Amino acid sequence: MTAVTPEWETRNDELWAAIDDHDPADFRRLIADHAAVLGDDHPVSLFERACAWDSTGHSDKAVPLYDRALALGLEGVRRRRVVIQMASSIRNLGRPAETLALLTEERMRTSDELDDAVVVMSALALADLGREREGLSMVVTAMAAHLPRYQRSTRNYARLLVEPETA
Amino acid sequence: MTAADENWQHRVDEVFASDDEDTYIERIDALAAELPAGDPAGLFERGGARDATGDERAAIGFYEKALAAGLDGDRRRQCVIQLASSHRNVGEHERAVALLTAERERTSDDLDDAVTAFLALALSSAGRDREALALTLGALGGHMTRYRRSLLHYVAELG
Repeated sequence: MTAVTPEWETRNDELWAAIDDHDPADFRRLIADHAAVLGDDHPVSLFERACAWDSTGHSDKAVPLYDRALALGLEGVRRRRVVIQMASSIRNLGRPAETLALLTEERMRTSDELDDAVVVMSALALADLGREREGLSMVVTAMAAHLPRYQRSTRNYARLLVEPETA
Repeated sequence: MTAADENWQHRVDEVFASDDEDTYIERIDALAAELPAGDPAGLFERGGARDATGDERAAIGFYEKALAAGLDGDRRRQCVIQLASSHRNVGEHERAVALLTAERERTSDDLDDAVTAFLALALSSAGRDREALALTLGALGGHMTRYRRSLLHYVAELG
C-alpha cells in the first residue's frame, strides 16, 4: 500500500482549501485524481473521495466509501472524522437518536483534537430530540476547558443543569 | 497595576487559594481595610469573600457598590460575571441575563467565553435552553479547526 507522505497531505490540504474556487464536479475530480496516487482502495483515498461527495451535498454517495474505508482499516483522526461525518449525515436524514448513539460510543472510545466536534454534533442531535438542556450541559462543560478563569465553577454549574442539586 | 497593587492582589489571591473558608471574610475585610475607604477593588474582593462562602445576597451588595465606585480593568468584567452568577443563584435570572447581555455588547477580551457561558446558564434558568445552546455552540465553534462552517449553518437552523 502506498504510504501517505507529508507532501501528499500538503497538496491534499491545498485542494481542500480551494473548494470554493471550483464547481462541485470539478472539485470531486481534483480530489479523486490526487487520491488515486495512493491507489483506489487505499483507506485514505476512499475517505477523501467520500469527503468530496459529502462536502458537495451528496452524503448518499459518501456513505459506501466511508464504510469501505473503515472496513479496510482507516485509523486515527480520519477514522474519527468518518464517525462524526456519518453521524451528521444520519442526523440530516432525520434520525438524531442514531446520531446520538454513534457519538456517545465515540466519546467513550477515545479523546483527541476532535472532542469538541463530537460534543457539538451530539448537542445538535440532543436538540433535535427536545433535550436541549442536556446538550447545553455538554457544550458548557466543553467550553470550560477553554476558559482562563472560572473553569471549576463553570463545570459545576454545567453538571447541575442535568443533575438536581442534592441538599 | 502598580507594584503595591500587585502585592495586595497577591495577598488576596493567597487567601482565596487557602482551604480555610471560615476565615475568608475576616481576612479579606482586613486586607480591604488597608485601602482607602470605598476603594472599588476592596469592595469587589469583599463581595468575592461572601460569594465564595455562599452568602450571595451580601456578595451582590458589594459587587454593585464596587461597580458604582468605578471598578475598572480586568476586575470590572470579573465583577459583572460574578454579580450575574450570584443573581442567577438567588433566582433573579432575568437580572443575570440583562447584565451579561449588556456585557457581551460592551467589550471583548479573553473573558468573552466566560461571559457567554454564564449568560447561557442564566438563559437556561430563565427557560430559554435552545437559545442558550445556540450561543454556546457558536462560542465552542470558535475553538474548532474543523467543521466551523457547517456548525454555523446548523446553529442558524436552531433559531
